[in-house]
Amino acid sequence: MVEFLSGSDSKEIQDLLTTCKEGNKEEFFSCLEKVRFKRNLFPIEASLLCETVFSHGYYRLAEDIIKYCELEAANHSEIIQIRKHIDLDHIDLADVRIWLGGTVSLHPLIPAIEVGLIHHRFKPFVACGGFDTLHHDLLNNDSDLFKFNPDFVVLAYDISHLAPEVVAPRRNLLQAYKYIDQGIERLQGSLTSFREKSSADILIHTLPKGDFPELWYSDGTSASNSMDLHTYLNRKITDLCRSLDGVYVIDLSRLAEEIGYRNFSDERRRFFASYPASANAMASWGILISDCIHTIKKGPRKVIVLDLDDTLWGGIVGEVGPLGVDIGPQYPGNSYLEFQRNLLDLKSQGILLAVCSKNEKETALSVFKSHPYIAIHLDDIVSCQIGWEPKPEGLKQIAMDLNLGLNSFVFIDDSPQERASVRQILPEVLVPDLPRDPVERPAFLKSLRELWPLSITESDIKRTEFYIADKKRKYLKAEYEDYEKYLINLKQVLQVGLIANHEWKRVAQMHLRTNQFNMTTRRYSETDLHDICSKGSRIYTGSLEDCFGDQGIVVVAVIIPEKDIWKIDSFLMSCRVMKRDIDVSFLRYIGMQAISCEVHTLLGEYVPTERNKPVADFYRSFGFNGPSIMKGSSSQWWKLDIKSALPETPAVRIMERYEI
Amino acid sequence: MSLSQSLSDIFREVFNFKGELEDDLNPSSVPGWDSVAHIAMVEAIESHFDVRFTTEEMVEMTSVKKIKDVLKHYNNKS
Repeated sequence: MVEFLSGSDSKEIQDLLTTCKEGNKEEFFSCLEKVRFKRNLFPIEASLLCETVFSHGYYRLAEDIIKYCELEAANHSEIIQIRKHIDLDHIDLADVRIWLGGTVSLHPLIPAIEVGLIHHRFKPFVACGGFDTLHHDLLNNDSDLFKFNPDFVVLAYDISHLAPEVVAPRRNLLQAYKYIDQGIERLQGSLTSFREKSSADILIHTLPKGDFPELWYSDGTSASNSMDLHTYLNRKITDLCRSLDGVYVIDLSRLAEEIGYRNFSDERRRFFASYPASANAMASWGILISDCIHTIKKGPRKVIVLDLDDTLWGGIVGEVGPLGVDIGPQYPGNSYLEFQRNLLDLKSQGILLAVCSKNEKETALSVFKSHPYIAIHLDDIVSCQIGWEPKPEGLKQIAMDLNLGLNSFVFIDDSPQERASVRQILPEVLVPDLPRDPVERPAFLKSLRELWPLSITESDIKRTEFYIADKKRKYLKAEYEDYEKYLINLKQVLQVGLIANHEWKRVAQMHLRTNQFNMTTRRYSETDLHDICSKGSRIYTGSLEDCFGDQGIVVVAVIIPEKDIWKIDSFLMSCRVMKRDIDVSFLRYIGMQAISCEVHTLLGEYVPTERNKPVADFYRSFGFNGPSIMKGSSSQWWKLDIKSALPETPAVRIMERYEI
Repeated sequence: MSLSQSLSDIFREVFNFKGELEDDLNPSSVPGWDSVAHIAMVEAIESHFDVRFTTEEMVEMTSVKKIKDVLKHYNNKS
């Protein structure tokens, strides 16, 4: 059983298997931890371990084993083996309900989706629609889909159902684009109608090229060649994301390319059972779906912390000097250069780059300042910890510096020992196993799914800029002994008003990502927000500009007007602007708005969580009375009689935004 | 591991069938043996014995006896 295991760390795996046989559960967990400090389990190791613990009478350990397993490369039989040893009824994790619907049979996706979601610490409830019931499920209130009440609806289809005329015999290929438009319109109609009745997130797919009639050598020259049709169809599918909210696209076409069409398709399955792809392809596909759902629920990671020597460049700067490190057009410098460029791509999507390195600070920084080929510059980096402290300390410093949780961090370091120490001391940081060969690293970086964004907004593109401006504010603060004077010198202007058309995405993003300054932590999606507004609530936003730049929307409130009271259902603020009187000035503005609507009482709610303890006294410090707590609820209620004076904030100028 | 033992394991895995493996077991005597489970059974057998059946053979394998007959061909080949 252990023949396949090779490499110096197989001893840890063997220890693990021994503890199973000896029946020592505590030892088992301690060995499992030791393994995962070094690296994640391979799927085959995980499946064997699941079987071993199970056969020794330890049920329900499978969930812990797959927590530390790399599932991306798992094949069908490994997934089945792992799934076999999981007892869904006894998993103690947050529920998530997934409906699979489509025009093809999707049963084989279920085990992989379940295993993937358990790996991401969810308890999966996955149900499958009948064959070719896609439109029926979406359109009918009494369909099995609605009865199931899913959080996510995953739709898969093939070209012969989406736009049958494109592949029908005696087809008119010149009309093919029109057929595609009609098929997409029909799908859009069903999605729109569904959206009016449900706020479940929808996952749709691009179609692999294999479905299309091929013309090989003449493809590029014919009037409606299949290459163009394929691109056209997938573009129309991805456009569906823009027309509705809560719609996400899984690029199945790309997955098929990666696996290779020969591995992706299985004609026997297609004809016999209407399965769209081979067993192994559907295993990878199911894992991809679970990764997408995880990102929708938790948000992608926000910060990459990088080592320098042999990670960002080849060689050790302390030994070869700043100009002696490998970055450049020749091997191996070119692989490091591309790695840097890929990091800059990630930065332009909103990821923050930070550095944590054991080096003499000036020596390391001089590479950035003087190396002719380096692509990353110092102003691309939002935080630098260069010194001789242990890396976990450096990471904690960066987290404090950026005011972000370590659970949004990714740590990239070529040294297995450094990786192990971070994995051990800071388990919430994602520490992927960087490939030993530098040429494999650019592709590896692009494959880190927890960095893939779901959407990219203006705030994302400017995120690094915002953080650099924050640094300047910190320096300014250091120049003033009197904090009030510093604030006034920032020349802050908060533009406030009811939510504008282009702001919905950002407001939803803030609801998803804000943890600290969040009075009630209601995770409203764009659909939820539109829904709330249509029922009479008001959403106010505030955008901040100071002498260092524009910071975009930094504060949001959802107000539910009730008879003579305005209830503050949601009040959140970006942690970047804490302690700048923005919260107070915004709440003051809302108070003034209430008065202008002849309402004189504000009702604030505080729902305590692990992360929002810093704002427990916000309403009290503003002048609210309370808290009153209702039995059986953790909410604290605070009341403000606005007839009394509202706090002044001289450091913030409020500017009302008017509709033009 | 004998052929019968392997098939017994596969039947337990795919159909959750815990009974004795007999030659005349077929979709009407094994609950859960529908067309969806049939393809899972065939793929499990292929994976276990490292073979690949033709679609015709796959359709033929509608009882334990017939499964054994099909597998005989592959044993002879190797």
